[in-house]
Amino acid sequence: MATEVARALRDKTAISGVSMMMGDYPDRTALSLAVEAFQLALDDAGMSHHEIDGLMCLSYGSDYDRFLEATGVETRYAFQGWTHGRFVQPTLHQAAMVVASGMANAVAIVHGKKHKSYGQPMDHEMWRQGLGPHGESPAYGGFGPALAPALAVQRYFHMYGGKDGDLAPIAMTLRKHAQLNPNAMRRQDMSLDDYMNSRWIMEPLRLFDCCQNNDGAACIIVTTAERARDCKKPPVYISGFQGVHAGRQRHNFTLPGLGVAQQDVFEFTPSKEDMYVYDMAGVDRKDVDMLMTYDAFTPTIFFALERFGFCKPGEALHYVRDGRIGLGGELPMNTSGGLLSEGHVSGWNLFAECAHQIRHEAGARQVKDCEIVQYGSFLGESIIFRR
Amino acid sequence: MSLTPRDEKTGRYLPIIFPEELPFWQAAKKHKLVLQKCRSCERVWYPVGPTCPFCLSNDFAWTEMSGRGVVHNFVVYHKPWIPYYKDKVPYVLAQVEIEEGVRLTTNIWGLPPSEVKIGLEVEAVWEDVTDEVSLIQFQPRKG
Ligand SMILES: [Zn+2]
Repeated sequence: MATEVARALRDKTAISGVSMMMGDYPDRTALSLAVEAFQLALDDAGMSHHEIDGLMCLSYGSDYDRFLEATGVETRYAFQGWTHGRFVQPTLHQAAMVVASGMANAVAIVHGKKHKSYGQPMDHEMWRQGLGPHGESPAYGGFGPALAPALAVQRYFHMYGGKDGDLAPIAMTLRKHAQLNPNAMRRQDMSLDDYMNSRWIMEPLRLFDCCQNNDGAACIIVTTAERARDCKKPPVYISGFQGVHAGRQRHNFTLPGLGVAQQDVFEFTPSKEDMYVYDMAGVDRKDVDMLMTYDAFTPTIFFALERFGFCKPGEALHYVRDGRIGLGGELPMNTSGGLLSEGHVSGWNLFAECAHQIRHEAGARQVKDCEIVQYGSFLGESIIFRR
Repeated sequence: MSLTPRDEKTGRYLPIIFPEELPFWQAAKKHKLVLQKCRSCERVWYPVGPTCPFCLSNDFAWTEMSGRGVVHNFVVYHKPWIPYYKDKVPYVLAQVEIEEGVRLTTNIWGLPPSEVKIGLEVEAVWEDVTDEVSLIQFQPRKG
């Protein structure tokens, strides 16, 4: 369960500004994208750059010191690391803890990324000792982040009777969401035939099960709840969080129990201890108005639903049909179109959407009366936002 | 990246042979599968690593494995990630659970990808790739 200290942090910090850019920027550098995203987020918050005294940034974009020098910002808390993918959530909750503990009054998480520049994770991560973080093994032709979700959903299908086509409702629902999002990169219609005719990338994953990469930038400003209340937009309170659960039993892009790599095989049902985020936030799972998850690949939608007990083991396979995860459904998910159809800013665009929904500024894709948004992913990392 | 080993003739990626993993690769050259077995808790682990992940004992012995197992999981690559695989797709990348309980990442030889199934019984077969590198592969068990 959440500790007393954790509960004391509930709603003490908030997101006050967000920005997101994506597309192809052939003539821009990662630094230039990061700086623009920072300016846009300051404007969104109605804050001055002199108020920013904390910075968290990506280790393979522009370095923290260059960014600070370029923007004239002086900080008393600076951090640079792997703020990408499964580590977007840890970065954001770290920012909340930094602000809550007074190490900084306002932290800007800045992310600027050129996806085809030197130094991307794909250049090196598969070569590490053992296997890559997605199970890669270059000598055996085992490449790409898609490998982990492909392995995971193959086992999921094996255990629960899934088949080709069962991922289609996910890809199609998120595409429909993207069509309501003017910033989304992939908005063309996707029918079931389009899905079934999309080429295999790595069976059981088709092209439309995989997101595509793009250049992008994002900035999220986290400050005290008090300061956020005076900003331009309504505060997006950070109510609860729990971290990435990792280890042999928690392989990347899988649920526990699926038997990926060296995982044990069992039907996973989360315990209360697996979901202390609700206790910290003081909300119940049934209060969640929108669920956002890291959806670089369609199977992660199944895994999020089962990781947090929205579905029993194997039930997500059926739950995602009939519009339940679509706008107007029982549990709308990834309302921006997600990484799959909106675009890929390493996951940061997912948090921008959480903020838009909480502030009721998501336009045609707004979840009605949205009060509580949960970000929760397969590794158990989660943040609950409240209006 | 320049540090990544590849076969100059074919362009195929080769494994990085880390010094501590040399016994594994030396045995592979002799077409033997050896893994580390803990002398304290008697368990075997994979991937190869510096200590027993079950009891953290450093007292282990490189031990020959049966080379028999079952396909626990697999995917079929249809997209060639590097040019070497252009005429190799579709091919299977599998996690084979050997009798000693660990799962090796490998390819499956000897039958078309569409016939590979979870539970398929397989046995080791060796692929001599270069003078330094032989890779364990698996094929359907014979008899
Ligand atoms: Zn041991």
